[in-house]
Amino acid sequence: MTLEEAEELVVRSLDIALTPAERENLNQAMLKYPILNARKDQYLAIRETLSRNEEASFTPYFASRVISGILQEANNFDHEIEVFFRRFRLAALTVFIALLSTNIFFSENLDLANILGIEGETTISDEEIFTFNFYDNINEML
Amino acid sequence: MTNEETSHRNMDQDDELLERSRLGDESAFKELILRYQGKVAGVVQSLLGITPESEDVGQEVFVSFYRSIGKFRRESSLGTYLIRMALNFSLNELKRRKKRNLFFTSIEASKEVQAQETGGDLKEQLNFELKRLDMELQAVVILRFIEGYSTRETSEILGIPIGTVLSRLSRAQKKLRIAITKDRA
Repeated sequence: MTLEEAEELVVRSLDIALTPAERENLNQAMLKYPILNARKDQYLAIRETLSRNEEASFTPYFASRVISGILQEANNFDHEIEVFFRRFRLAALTVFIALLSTNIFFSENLDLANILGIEGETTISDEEIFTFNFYDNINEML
Repeated sequence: MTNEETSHRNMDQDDELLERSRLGDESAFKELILRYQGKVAGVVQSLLGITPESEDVGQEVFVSFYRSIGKFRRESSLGTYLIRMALNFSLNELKRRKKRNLFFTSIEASKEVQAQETGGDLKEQLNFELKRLDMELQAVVILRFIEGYSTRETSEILGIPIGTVLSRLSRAQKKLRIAITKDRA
C-alpha cells in the first residue's frame, strides 16, 4: 500500500467505520509510514478547529424583520395589481362615457331610462291591435 | 425522552406550524423561523461571513420558503430543506460576488486577508483556505465539520451519494492540510 492510499484510509477512518480488512491494512500502513500519525493529528486538528463552538445567529429581531418583509411584499403585490388594472379602469370609464354621450345624442326624449338604454315595459294600444274579420271581408268582396 | 422521540415530537410540531403557516398564520411562521434561523445562519455565515449580505440571504431563504410553502412535500425534513435552500442561495451569492469581482469587499473578508498576511491563528488561516476551495468542497466541509452534520445528513442535504461526500471531504481535507502546512513551514 502506498503512502497516498494509506492517507486516504486515514481520512476515511475519521468519517466512517472501516471494514476489518481495511482496519488491518491501515494498522500495517501506520507502522510502515510513521508520518501518517502526524497527518492524522493534523486532520483531527483541522476538524476540531473548524467546528463551531456556539450556535450561529443573525442579528436580533431577525424573525420579525422576515415577517415584515413578507407583509411588505404582500402589500407591494396588491399595489402592483391595482396599478396593473388602473389602465383598464380608465379605459372602461372612457367607453362608458362615450356610450352615454352617443345615447344622449341620438335619443329623442331625454328621460333617464332612455339615456341609459333601459327598456321600459311596452304596451300596445287598442288602436294598434290589428283585427281581421275574415267573414266581413269575404262579404265585402262578394 | 430518547433522541428519536424528541425528533418525532419536533417533526410533529413542525407539521402543525407548517399547516398553520399555510393558512396564513404569521405567528406560526415566525415560530418556524425562530426554530431554524440558527441552522440557516450557520450555513450562510460560514460561506459568506458575518456580513450584511449573509443577513439578506438568510431573509431571502425564509421569504422564498414562505412563498413556496405549498410546494413543500415533506420528502425531506424541514431542517434539511431549509439548509439546502440556505446553501444554494449562499453559493449563488458567492457566484454573484465573483462575477462582480468583489470577492473581498466585505469587512469580514478583509479581516481574514489581514489575518492571513500577519500569520493569524489556525482558525483564521483555515477559514481563509476554506474560502479558496471549490464551492462543492466548501459545502461538504461546512456541513460536516463546521455545522457537525453526519455524513448521511450531509449527503441528504446536498442530494449526493455518501461516497461522493466522502471523496469530496477527503479532497478538501488534503488541500487544507497542505495549505496550512505550507504556510506554517
